[in-house]
Amino acid sequence: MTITTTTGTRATRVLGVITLVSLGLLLVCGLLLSPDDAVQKETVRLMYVHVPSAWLAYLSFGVTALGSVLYLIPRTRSLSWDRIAACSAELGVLFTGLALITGSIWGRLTWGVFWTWDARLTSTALLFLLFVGYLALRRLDATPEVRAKRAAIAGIIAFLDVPIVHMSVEWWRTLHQKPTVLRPDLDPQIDGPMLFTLFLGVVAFTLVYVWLMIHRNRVAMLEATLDDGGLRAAIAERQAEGATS
Amino acid sequence: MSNWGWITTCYLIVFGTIGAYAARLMIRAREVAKRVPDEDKPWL
Repeated sequence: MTITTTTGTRATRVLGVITLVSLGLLLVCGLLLSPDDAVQKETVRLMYVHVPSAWLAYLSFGVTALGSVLYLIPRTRSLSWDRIAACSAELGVLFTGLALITGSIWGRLTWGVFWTWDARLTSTALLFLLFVGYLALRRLDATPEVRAKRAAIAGIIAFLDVPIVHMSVEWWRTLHQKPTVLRPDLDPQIDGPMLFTLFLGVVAFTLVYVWLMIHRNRVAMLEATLDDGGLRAAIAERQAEGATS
Repeated sequence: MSNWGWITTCYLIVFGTIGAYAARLMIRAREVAKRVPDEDKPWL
């Protein structure tokens, strides 16, 4: 019996190197090469980590919602979908937290306050709390099937806040600026070098998400295998006790 | 703190958090991977 002591493969190592290079490029472009904004001056550089963090929050929770729907459909029901939904939600909470922190710092520099009860900020904070609740719900004692069903329903309900977060700047009068790139008229209102750096940030962070998801999912698979093994051993022990008494 | 101080802090928080999460994940991966035989690792 051979035992490999990692969840990595050649492909994930190559992906890891590409991800690190893209993050390095983002640092160089974001902090050194990208020009200052005419109005916001150097503080525009916060956009290159804030927007990709918010994008990953959307992506992560989108994957959670998709996994949840696929679990609830009888024809595609599998605990693999539940596992993917859970792993993605964990990453989503991480990146929503980063989007809130980076947004607060940006707010301090442009609005003069770390926090205001603006529709975008409030709906994002609610999104964060909804998925913290989703992760807490998963920790309740239950069989894997019951837990997966509960979590799938909660994940879909929590995801309903994502379009509200995105459209909040259009639906309500907010301090937060309206979309710069993903505008309804599909005409980005941003200078070329800034758009390039922002695009680089989105690509680099998406690679981070893919790399983390692969490893997080494999860790979850191994943990499930260990749990199954422990359960089988406990049942065998109980049966042996019953046979001897 | 100057604007550049806040910008640097922000980048440190983002990259530091991602790095810390990735490191913790790798440590956990090693812990569980060495307790499971390779037959139960479908990616190998």
